[in-house]
Amino acid sequence: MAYYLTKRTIWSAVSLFGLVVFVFFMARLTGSPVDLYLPIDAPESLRADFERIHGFDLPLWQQFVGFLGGLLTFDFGESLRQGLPALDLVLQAMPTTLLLALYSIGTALVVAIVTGALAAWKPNSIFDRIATVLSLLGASLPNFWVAIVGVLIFSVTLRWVPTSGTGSAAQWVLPVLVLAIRPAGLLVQVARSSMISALSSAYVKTAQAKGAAPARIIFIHALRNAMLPVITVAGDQAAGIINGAVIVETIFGFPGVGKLLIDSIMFRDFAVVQAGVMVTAVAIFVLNFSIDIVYAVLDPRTRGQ
Amino acid sequence: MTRFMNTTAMAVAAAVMSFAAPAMAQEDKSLTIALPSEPADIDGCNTTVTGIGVIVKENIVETLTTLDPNDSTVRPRLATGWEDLGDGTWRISLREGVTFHDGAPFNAEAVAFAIDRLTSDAIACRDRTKIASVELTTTIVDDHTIDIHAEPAQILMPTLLSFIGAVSPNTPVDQVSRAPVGTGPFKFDSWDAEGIAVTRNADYWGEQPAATDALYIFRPESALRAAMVELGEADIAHDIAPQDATSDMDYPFLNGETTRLRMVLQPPLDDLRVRKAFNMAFDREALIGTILSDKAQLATQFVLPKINGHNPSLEPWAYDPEQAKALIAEAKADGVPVDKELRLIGRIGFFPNQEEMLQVMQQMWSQVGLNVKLEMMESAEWLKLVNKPFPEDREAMLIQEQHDNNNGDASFTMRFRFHSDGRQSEFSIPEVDKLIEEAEMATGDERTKLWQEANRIISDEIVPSVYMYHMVSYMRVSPEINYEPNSLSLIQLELADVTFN
Amino acid sequence: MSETLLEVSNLSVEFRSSRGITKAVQNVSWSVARGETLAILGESGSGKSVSANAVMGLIDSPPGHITSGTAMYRGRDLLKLSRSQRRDINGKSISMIFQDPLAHLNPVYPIGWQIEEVLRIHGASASEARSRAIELLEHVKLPNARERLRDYPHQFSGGQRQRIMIAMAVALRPDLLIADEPTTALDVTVQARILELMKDLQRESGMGMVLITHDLGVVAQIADRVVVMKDGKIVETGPVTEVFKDPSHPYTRQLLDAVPGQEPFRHVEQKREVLVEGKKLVKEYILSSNPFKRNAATVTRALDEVSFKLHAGETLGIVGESGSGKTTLARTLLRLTEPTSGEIAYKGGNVFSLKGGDLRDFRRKLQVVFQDPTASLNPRMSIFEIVSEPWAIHPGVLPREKWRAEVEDLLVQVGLRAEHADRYPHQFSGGQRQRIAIARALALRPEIILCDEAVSALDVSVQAQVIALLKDLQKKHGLAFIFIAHDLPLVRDFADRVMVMCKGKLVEEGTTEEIFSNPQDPYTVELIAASPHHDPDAHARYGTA
Repeated sequence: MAYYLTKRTIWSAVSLFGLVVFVFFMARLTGSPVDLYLPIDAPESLRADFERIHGFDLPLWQQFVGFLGGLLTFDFGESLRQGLPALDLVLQAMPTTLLLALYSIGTALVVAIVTGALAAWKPNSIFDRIATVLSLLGASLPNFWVAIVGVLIFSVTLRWVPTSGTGSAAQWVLPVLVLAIRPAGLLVQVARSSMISALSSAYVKTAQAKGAAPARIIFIHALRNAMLPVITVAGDQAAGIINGAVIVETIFGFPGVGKLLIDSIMFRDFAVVQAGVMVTAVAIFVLNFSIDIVYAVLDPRTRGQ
Repeated sequence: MTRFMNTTAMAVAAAVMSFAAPAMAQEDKSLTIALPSEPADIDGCNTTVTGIGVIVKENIVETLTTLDPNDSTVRPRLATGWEDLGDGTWRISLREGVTFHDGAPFNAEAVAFAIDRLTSDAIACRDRTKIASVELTTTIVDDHTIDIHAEPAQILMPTLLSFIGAVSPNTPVDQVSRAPVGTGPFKFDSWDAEGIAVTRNADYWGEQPAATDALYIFRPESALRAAMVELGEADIAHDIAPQDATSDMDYPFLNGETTRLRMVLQPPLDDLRVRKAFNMAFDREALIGTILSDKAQLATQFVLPKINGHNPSLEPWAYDPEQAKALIAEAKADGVPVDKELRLIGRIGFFPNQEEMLQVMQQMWSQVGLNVKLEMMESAEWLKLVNKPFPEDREAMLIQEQHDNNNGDASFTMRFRFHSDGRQSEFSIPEVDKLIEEAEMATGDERTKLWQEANRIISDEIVPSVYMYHMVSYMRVSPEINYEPNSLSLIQLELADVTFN
Repeated sequence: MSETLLEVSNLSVEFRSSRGITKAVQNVSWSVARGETLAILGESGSGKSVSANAVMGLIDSPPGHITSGTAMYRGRDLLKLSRSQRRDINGKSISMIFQDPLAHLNPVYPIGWQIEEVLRIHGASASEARSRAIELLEHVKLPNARERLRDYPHQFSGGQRQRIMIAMAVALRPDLLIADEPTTALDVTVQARILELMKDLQRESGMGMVLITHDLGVVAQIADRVVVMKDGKIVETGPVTEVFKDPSHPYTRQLLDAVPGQEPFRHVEQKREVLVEGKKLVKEYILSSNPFKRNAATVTRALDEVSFKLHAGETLGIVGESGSGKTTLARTLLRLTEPTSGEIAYKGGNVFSLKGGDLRDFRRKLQVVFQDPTASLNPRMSIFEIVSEPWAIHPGVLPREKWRAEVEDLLVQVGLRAEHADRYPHQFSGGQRQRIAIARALALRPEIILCDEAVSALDVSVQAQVIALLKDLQKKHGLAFIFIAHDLPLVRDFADRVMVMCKGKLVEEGTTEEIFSNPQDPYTVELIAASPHHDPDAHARYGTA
């Protein structure tokens, strides 16, 4: 197990490094970002100072060497926009995004498992059909529409929750729910079909022959076997949220990584883009690794390797 | 890591608390202002940047002079008087009895420090743009008098003083500040995930403002900003989209921006008739009150009426599609490639509904037989098209532009846009160049006349663009407070102007 | 002698789908008494499992419907009980075990937990359940019961898993145990022991047993009475000795006749040329991908210095249980995998150094028929496309204009009809599909056909037919066969010479007569003894030790 872990980590580190280098060159291919930061009528001296301060006047290879040197101490450089260390900015934004991902995928999973399991027990029943329609609806609705409509209904009209901000728990309700809708929709379908498959397997027959009640069959026998595809898709969805819950972050004023990255890309803030890509990649690596561990916990057959 | 702990702890602990709509308590006289985007920094030497000035200018950091929003006259602020000594030097008298938020005294030394910092090359202060190509040197006469020498001599020195923010002499000179210290009625308090907080300065030299503290929060979505004021979660929603401005809490105001489509003077746009046709085939009035606010004004030139040099006798083009067709036919007969497909480049993010507006214009032009294709670009790409040096194989196209000149004089527009060495100028006409150069050196009425003549030639004889509108922005103001937006409100929102009901 | 435990009367079950109604069983009646073993014997599609499933309440409804009949147990009609009443009986008074124990055990829970579950469902406490579970495992002779409680199903062998299932089924000392093909998926030697275990348990507890199977040998070994089913109906019933010695229904007779191993041994012709010779083949597999952990324990030998010879026109039978290496040998012969050492000589040259045209030549001469006819025929290709594909792969053998005629000819040769060429695999039965696979194998006029468990998945009567066909083709075309099987009787009727393999090693080889009449190696002896003979009296002769 230790060998496997080490091998995995080393390969991931190699590909992370490759990714960061790739982003470095790709980003700089778009040219100097000076024009994006300074007013349109900025004088030459101002432009020259800006370039010099941020190292853009150096030849590309020199910038690269400096960058590599910085990497060794995890120094990605300073943000062009804010002048703060890029890595700090990303790390500051990360917890918000991670929490958003955690809460929304958690919510989606709970909803999906219960709904999917019950729908699978009686396929094509009324419950199943309603659940299917709702889940497909959820998976199809665009994020930004749901967010705005959500605000209009639940904040403005019903006044149940505040519109935006991150301070109180109430302010997290809408963003989490908005982010959870699409994964929930997808996961209900995955859970449902996975459960149908599990419920028609041979060991369920054995359980019935043993006299097990339906609840036991669904939630103890079938569910654990059906979880694997659900976890896979959930992990994929979580990665998507970590990468870019931009719309929700923007609308609700959550200072997360998604918004930071998009803004940095638009403003050619190279240092933050690089730091953001790397941190996000690490987060996803850890996420994938955790999923592997969850697999091993859920399915003893995978524990051998 | 602690931040992460805090956030989770807050979330967990708060789960026990009841959900209450956080209303702003009137007893505290606090203000919450919802802005569209978070600034990169709030340094006192960047007050001319829209997202920064709206927070900092005249609230935290004050400038030496200010411009009146209605007629652009120069008003004293931290400078009480100014005298032109000739040879490019002006003697400035400074206000007495003023201290910075950190206790340092406001005096000539502080002003010299601020100007040095502004012009230093250790940091790239954006306000430098406003004093571009001017070299400033300061001489301290006494504690409250300072001589500022400009090379070349600046006729508009009093206006230039409105760009110089007085920051505390303790401000670091090698980095951009995220915690500015100034002399203004409000002190910087904190900047965190919630927003930027300021509190009232008890030692302010002027009248105490009504508000005790203010919080600037950032919500890019316009509908959300508007909803927050409606719900009482915010007091002012800055710059909301027209479709969200549907209540009587919403105030439209001219925001100092003018939009136009710049034409690249390559065939067929090198033909004056074609350019005129574009202007004639555009039904300007149709967009007012529909896509645009009915308070928007038709633009005949690139500066607003309040700016010195605006020519009031210029008329907007009448909508005359028939005449347009005739001109096009005439040009075609002479071999001008009027059928060529022309790119209409829009820049994402100028103002709400802009894409719809450009689509309408494109439709109007296609009705007279002009072949225009709309392309929306993000700013980085767009910048490559509008700035010199231009590429060799530049083709004819129309480029959307938006320009704000809130500085009282046409000089802040004309050279850059119309002089042959202006970075965004499409042409090189000696007559225009001469007028611009002379105007820059002139004073008083003569100056005004020269600018007006230049504008006339450009708008009526050269026709290098399709002037569109002087734009209007909307602000939603809570009924609990009183604030009336003016033409500077987009870039300068003085909290001291807010009173409570 | 003993009370009737369960009486099924006039049971009819049908399945309704969009394609119509299928009558799974019609008017079926049987009963089983205490201490007695009833066998329900039938081939696939006979409906033999349906009545048992109905008794246990395992028929999903929809699409299945019980249209008539009763199942009386202790004065109550099981078919009319409520669900919770049924659950009370299942596992406690009547239990069931199934074919393929790996699929029927939940892979994510330890076996101890699964055994304890049946006890806990019916009211035992956790500690009671725990100790009883250990007791049960020891009772079914699972070694190291206590330590293995926490292991998972995939960590046991097939035989051990079935023991675990049996332990679960008898945990609460049921009145009746229903066993649906309990040994079909197991190796022959293991099968014998499992049947023995079941018989012992029955003797001990006096429970009744219903055994559902297609294997006449199994019926003969442990059943008292037998019910023979065909197409959902019972065609014959009675004590096993009577029915098997003197069947009244023609179908029963047909089944008995089809059992392999009843013909005289084949004669080995005089020495013909050696077509293929395997010399000291070794195939090693390394179990751990960790380079720091390689040692003897992580290397396993699937083939351990195996040598063999195949003569022209003869059938070489290779028999072995799971893990014997027979499949690896087949794959190596087909060049699907390379041996770690050793060589296979074909007409003098080493098969593994053949290249280009020579390799293609070799492949033409050696064709294969696989075990699962469903999987080996591409469901999207028509029969014509399937049978003519070899000519597409080996251009130059037959010009395209002649393909149609040749395909039709081959189909007729294997007992199908010319018009079948335009149909698709799913329209045929298992036996027919295997015939198609044989036709495909014949297309290139090979010298050798490798049959990898080619008849193992077929019903008994179909098996006999296919083997008859193979013999026929052999005579006609002078083919040599390599016939791989896990069951000795099958090989007996068709092979000239037999190789017995165990754990990668060649244990014994000789002519069929030698192997069957005079086995030398103890493993061979055990193997022969373990195959259940369909003659009930024969069990006394071979013993069930």
